[in-house]
Amino acid sequence: MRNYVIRRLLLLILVLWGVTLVTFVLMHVVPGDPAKVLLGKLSGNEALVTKLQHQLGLDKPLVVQYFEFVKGVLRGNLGNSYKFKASVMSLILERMPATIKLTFGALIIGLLVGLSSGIISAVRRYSIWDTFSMIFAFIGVSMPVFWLAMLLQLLFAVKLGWFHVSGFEGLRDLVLPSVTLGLIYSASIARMTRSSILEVIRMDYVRTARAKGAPERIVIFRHVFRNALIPVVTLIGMQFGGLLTGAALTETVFQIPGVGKLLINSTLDLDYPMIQGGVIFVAIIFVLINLFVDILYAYLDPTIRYD
Amino acid sequence: MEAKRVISLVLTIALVLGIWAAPVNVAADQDAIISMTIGSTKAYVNLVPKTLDQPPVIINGRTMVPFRFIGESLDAFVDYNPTDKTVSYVLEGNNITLKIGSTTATVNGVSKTLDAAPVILKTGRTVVPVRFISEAVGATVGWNPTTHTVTITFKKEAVVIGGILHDYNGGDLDGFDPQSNTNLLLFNACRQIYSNVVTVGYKDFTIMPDVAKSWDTSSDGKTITFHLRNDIYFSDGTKLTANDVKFTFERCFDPNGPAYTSGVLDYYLTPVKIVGGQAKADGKASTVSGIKVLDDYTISFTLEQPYAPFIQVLAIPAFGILSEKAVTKMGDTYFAHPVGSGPFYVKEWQRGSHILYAANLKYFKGRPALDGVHIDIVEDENTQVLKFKKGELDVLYPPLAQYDELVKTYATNVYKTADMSYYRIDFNIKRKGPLQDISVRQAIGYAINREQILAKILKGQGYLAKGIFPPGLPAYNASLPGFSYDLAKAKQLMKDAGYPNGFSLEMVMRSGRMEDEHLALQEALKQIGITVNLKKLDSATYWQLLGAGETDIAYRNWWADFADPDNFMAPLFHTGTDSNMGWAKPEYDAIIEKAAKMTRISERIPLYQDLERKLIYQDVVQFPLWNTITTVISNPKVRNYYLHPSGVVAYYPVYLAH
Repeated sequence: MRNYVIRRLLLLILVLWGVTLVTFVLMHVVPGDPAKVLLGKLSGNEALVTKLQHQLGLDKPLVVQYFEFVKGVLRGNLGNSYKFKASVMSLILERMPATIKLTFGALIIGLLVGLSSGIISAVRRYSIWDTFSMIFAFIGVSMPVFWLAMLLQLLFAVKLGWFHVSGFEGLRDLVLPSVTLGLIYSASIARMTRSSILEVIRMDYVRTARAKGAPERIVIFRHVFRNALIPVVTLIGMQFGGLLTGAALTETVFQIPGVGKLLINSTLDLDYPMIQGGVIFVAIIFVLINLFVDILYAYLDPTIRYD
Repeated sequence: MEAKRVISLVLTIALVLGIWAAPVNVAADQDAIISMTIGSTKAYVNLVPKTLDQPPVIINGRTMVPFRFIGESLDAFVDYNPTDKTVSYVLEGNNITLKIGSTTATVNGVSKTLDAAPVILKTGRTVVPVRFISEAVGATVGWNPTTHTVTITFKKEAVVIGGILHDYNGGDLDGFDPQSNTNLLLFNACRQIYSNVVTVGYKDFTIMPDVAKSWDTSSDGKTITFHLRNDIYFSDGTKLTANDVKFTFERCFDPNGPAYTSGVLDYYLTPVKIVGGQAKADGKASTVSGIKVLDDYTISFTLEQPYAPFIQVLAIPAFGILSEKAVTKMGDTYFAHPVGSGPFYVKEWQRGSHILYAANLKYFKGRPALDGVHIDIVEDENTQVLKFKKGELDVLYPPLAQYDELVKTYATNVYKTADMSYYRIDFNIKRKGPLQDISVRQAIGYAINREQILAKILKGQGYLAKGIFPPGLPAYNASLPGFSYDLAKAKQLMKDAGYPNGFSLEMVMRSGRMEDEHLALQEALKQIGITVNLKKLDSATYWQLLGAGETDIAYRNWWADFADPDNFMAPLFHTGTDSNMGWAKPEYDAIIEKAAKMTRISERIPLYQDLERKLIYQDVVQFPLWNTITTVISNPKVRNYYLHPSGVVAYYPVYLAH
């Protein structure tokens, strides 16, 4: 297992290199000049454009720009954001606490609601519970996140006055955004859990477990649930990554200073260092989460071996 | 010159007295006594003589007084709604609306009966019964039968010290370096945390002393010497001296400084032509020879030629006075650690979340009434509305989508002000095509039903424009003929130009910005057979295409940075600006340059008005659409939240009533 983890981490370097190369190429293929974006109305002034391009180092050959960037990354320096002037690393780190809090809040809600309704509807198939939770999941999957956010704000903040409409000052302010994201994510977790359990429940070893007289509770939780979890864990892992990097809409609606909004805006502003830094950040998160999920597979299903 | 010096001296004395009189030197502190005589244009407000354009009159035995004059003297928000024919005041939380020709009025939502209906007289001014209007705002009326003098006495409520105002920004600020951008967000921040050499009034562009207590101009009009106050400290405790002023302006010319690429230099200082400025910008000099420190509290600026709006330029928030020491010390991180000498300082700043301004208790004009201002960064319009409804925000600029409902619900706390703005259609005349024909450009103008767009889309927040200069600007010309919606004429013009079946045009727009208006314009032109291909672009591409003249028409606007006609003519019509897609005329350039050099506004105005007529009515370079109005709804506790025609609100006079 240790060798496997080391191999995967080494692979991370390769992934990061690939990702930066692809991003770099894409950034320069996409039309638009960051200097002109920064100049806005003044972008018609050629002298200023040239001056700013020089200041930003955009007048150097692309190859040189790329190697300077890689050199910076190797030294742990992602450069300075064109727009905010501050270092990319500090900008991302400054926004991490809010993002991490929101991610875990959403995940807790998502797991609680998603797993429980998924299990109930699988075990009590075709019951009123099943219908109810699958309708709920259907709505959750189709409902736009900002719409749900607005409904929650209207009911729990404006009408009932339990929470602030938006803002991010105390733990209480975490509730509405976490519920918003959590409910949306719980929908797909519920569906995945249900179908996965239904698949496993038909397996021979479940029948064997029942035949040998194990209580239903043990059958469901020890034999069915654990085996059914593998696809669910994959899904949760992907959602976890998505939450850490791209909850931009929720952040906007609830006025949360998170990473998602920062990354989206950097692409609109053609803020090259910020885009590069953001992509590296996203890549690291996803590689690490995938690694974690893979390790979890081995734990959940002892037949999976990595060595 | 001499006269100017006297005025500044009077202002200074008033200012000093204001500070001695009360800890908070805000206009609202003072009671108002207005006295007027029937049939006379002479009036007094707190013993200061004023001239009325409409004297008080007696109609059917009732004394009627000019509505706007009374309101403005009392410091109320005065509004006239031409569609409903209503006039209204908002004053200290009371909202009074009267209808022309009707004896029914509304006071805070309750109907009241008047003994005489308001009327509009020949002067264009509305007069209202004095007793009713005075009592509605809580003032008392006195009448002297021998002199026929009416006296209105209004006791202002006492300013309340303390409390935090909750306001919001619709987007994130890049930082607090005043020279780093020219957008409204930064201007607003700078207005709170910095002082300028001179500043403007809270509700208009009247120049007032700030760091400079007085100034004088040399006889050739090229050298202006400022006498600075010696009692101003920056928030880091250091004293503000003439060296800081010099440093601030020299930094604008630094080729490696923020002003060089932010537009602050290009838009505002390049036209001023300070001696030695260009040399520094070109890297040929380390200082600007035209800026001289005469002693710690005296500084002079020498210009290559007189520039009429120079003093006004100094009041632009971009020229907030920087502390040389702080900027040098902080270097590249100054933007996050600003040091100013304004009424507030930045106590907390979290990007994407909020800004907290705290009162500068040592502010040289007296501490602000508020303890602080909390600015939430709320991009989402729905969240803005919900936050206001819940009471998490004290003010709300109602978004168009919910405008009607909000303005109705909060009718008693709606404030409006006319912006110094000009919205228009730009024609790309240099590009080969049908637009080079003047009749086609005229036809486009006649095909647009501006009243309808104003009413339906902008919710009545604007006035139809007749020319370039908005009302309130010196040089505004009320006697221009204007344009009316005339589809038949538009079609005829198209036919005469040889395009009876129309053609197609390109129009650029930024996604998410004024989309409905663009769509309405597209619909309007369809009526005369013109197919408008709307290109929805990101900001960067939008400016690039406009700059390169790669579109046929564009719906654009201009907001004045200072109240001088030059601020419309030079940036919009002079060769070398980025506006108008490259169109300009050397003879017009000469007029613009000449007018800017003249110092008497009365002599400049005819030049500007003549040029305006040529550009709009003779050359049809642009089609003027409207001048906008800004609306804000506030919590009833909020006082003196004055909207400014530039869009920049000063928090200094604001207080929260009990």
